[in-house]
Amino acid sequence: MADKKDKKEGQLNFQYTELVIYGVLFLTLVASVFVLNITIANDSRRDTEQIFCATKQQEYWQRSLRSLLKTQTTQAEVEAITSDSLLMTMPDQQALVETKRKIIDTVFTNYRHTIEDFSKTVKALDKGDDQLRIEGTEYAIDAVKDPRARVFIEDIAQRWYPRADTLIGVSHQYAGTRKLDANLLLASIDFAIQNDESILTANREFIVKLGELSTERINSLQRIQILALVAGIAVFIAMAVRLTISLRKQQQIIAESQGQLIQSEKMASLGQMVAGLAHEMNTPLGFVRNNVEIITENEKEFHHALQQSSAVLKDLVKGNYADVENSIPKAIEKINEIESIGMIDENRSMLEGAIQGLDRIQELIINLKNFSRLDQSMMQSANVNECLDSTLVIANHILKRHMTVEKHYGQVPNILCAPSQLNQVFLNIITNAAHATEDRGRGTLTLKTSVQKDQVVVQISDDGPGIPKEIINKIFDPFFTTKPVGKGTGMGLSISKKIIEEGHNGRIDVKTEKGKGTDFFIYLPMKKSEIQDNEKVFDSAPVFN
Amino acid sequence: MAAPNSNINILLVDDEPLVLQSLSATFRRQYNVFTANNGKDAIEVVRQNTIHVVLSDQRMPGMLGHEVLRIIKTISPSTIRILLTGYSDLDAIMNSVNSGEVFRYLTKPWKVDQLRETVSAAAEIAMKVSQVYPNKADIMRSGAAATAEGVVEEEVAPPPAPTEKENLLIVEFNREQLNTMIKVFEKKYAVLPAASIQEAFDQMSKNQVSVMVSDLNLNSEDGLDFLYAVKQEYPNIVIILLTQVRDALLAIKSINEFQVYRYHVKPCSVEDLDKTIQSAMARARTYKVQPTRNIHAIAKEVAPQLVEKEATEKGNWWREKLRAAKRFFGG
Repeated sequence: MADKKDKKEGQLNFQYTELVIYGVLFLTLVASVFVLNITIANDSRRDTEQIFCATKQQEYWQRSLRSLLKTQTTQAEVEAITSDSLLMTMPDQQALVETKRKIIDTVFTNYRHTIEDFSKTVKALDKGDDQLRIEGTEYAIDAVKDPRARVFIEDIAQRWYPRADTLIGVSHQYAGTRKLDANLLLASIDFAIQNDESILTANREFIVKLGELSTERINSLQRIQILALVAGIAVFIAMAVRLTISLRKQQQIIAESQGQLIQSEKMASLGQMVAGLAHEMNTPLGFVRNNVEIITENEKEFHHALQQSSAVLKDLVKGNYADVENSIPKAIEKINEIESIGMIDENRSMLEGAIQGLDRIQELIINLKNFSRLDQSMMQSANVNECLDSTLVIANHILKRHMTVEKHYGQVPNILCAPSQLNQVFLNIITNAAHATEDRGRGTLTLKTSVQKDQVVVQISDDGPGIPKEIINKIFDPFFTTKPVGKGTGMGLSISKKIIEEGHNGRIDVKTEKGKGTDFFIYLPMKKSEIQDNEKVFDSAPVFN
Repeated sequence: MAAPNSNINILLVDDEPLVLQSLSATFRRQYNVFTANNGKDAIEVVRQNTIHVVLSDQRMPGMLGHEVLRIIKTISPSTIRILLTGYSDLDAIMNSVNSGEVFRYLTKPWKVDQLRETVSAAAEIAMKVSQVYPNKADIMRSGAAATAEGVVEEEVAPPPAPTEKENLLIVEFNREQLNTMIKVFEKKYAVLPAASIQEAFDQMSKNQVSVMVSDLNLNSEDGLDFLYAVKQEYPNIVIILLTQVRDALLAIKSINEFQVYRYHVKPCSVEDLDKTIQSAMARARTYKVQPTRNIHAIAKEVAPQLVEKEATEKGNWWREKLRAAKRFFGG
């Protein structure tokens, strides 16, 4: 028993552990999807910023190139005017030069800004920059790490880094001196024009690549999300299946233990019956045995007397008169002794008693058979009055001390029922009645049977203390008992209810009044014996060739 | 057949007329037989006649056998009481041990020889005991109210308790339980603990034990044999059983083999056990001053064959050991 209990507890623990594992799995899945989402959202933000940065880079590059070219042309115009001394003397030409120089100033300043910005974007994309200012707004740009996109950034960077000083230097030089180193400018323009195509292409490619990568990421995210969903559903189904299985198991365990209890209740009522029967049988058995022993003893005396009498007769026949004189008084003495004690009468009454005792034992056996009906089929035609009588014989040992039994049997027809089950119900209620009146030391058990409409009604009443109101609704509940532990399983009435309601389509009712007694009513539907109608010789129509 | 011994009156009580008829036939040649088919009539018969032996059924309508015997005990203490029943009902047996103080417990169906032997031993004891009891008429006069409702437990006041503590032998193999009991009782009694049969023997040889409390489950030794030996050698020790075993057959044996005074089922309340020990002490004092009150001791004298019959080999073996211990300690 203890082992079984431990095992059950172990199973329960195991089930809880399993449940926790499922829970953790499920939550981990959900959490990882979230984390993934957040990371990918971050990546997307980074990408967007990088794309923005790259776009700006392109813009800066184009603007600087334009500024550079504009500077060059304007410079060339200025030089054309200044190299012509004639022209220089003309005031309007001087003003024109001045204007042109001013244009150069503006354009070159512009160039300086854009080329510096361009340089920053190149660095930012290559190495990362937390505080990249683009048009007054600060951006945090991460270095491009994905090798597939990085290829383009590196391409630009490799082109740019060696010449960066020159290209930026030229603008700084001008800002200080307002003089343009023609060589430097030329080199810059040369570089710019040479690399314009490559830088723009790399830049475009980079943007396209980032877009591709982001699409790829979104695709993989979708895949992961679908996978996570599938995994979640799988975990959920597994959990549901496991729970269903364990619930089923528990139900099974409950059903099993209920079955065991019903069985133990059956055994208990059987034990009660056997104990009662043993007691009922021991009494006749006791005196029958005693009588037989006395008869045996008396028989010895009779035998003795017979021997002596026959000796006398033999002597008389043979003519041994001498011996006869001696043996006659002895024989007469013996016979007188037997007569004076009344041994013959005694023997007769002992024999009569023994036969009565044996009859009683036989009657008990018949009643036991009637009570259990183990040798007969379950549903059969029987009379409840007879069932009650059988039960009374079995219950006699608990009733006879203090109960008076009053029978008011009506003319009830035989009904289709399981008599052994009905007997169990009757015994249960009668036993309860006997126990209820035990403390008072006397009580009356009234058994009434009658016919109401199409029902046979059995009323079993006692004049005990009644059932308290608080528990009247519980008495048919399984395991409910007012008896001390070990005295009752608390299943008696619940099984009785089951037998009557489920086994016989009947109804069991109780009415009780405090201090006056309790009445149980059992209603059993009268069904015509269907057995005969349905009886067939063969289970299918016989076919003969 | 033996000549009728009309000096001895026996009363048969049973609600079954055929049993009465059968039993009457069994005894009528040796004794004057009275019959009653219920408790009330039986008590009336005892009131009006001197009954030496009463043989009663347990389960009867109205009053149960052990109740009838208890009332008869107060009316006529010298009457030896025998209970006859089918042993299906443990409670009835426990009740009869603890309230009826019956001489023997016989089970249905019975054997004629055994029944006759028991009744004849009972009759002899009754003849002897009746000499020491006050005249029944006196009791009737003084305790006219001794009816079914109001019965006095001890009919003759036992000698008062001595000032010093009385010896209480406790035999218990479980050390823990033994220590608990010592702690509980050492203030009131001179407790002699024994955790083995040998220790119990030593204690009994060295000290004069009045009352012993013993378990039946004595470390694989049969407690019944041990207690039988004790009762044989020390008939004046009053034995109280304190056992976990709720067994009807054991209870019957305890009465028949060593006249157990009370049968307590573990766990029991300290108060109940103490009450029992006190009344057992009183009983022991009574035995000391009035040896004829000890029915078992008399039974040993007048019907040794009946007592010896209960003995088992093992019981006799213990008895020998006990005797040896007694000699050794010069008891």
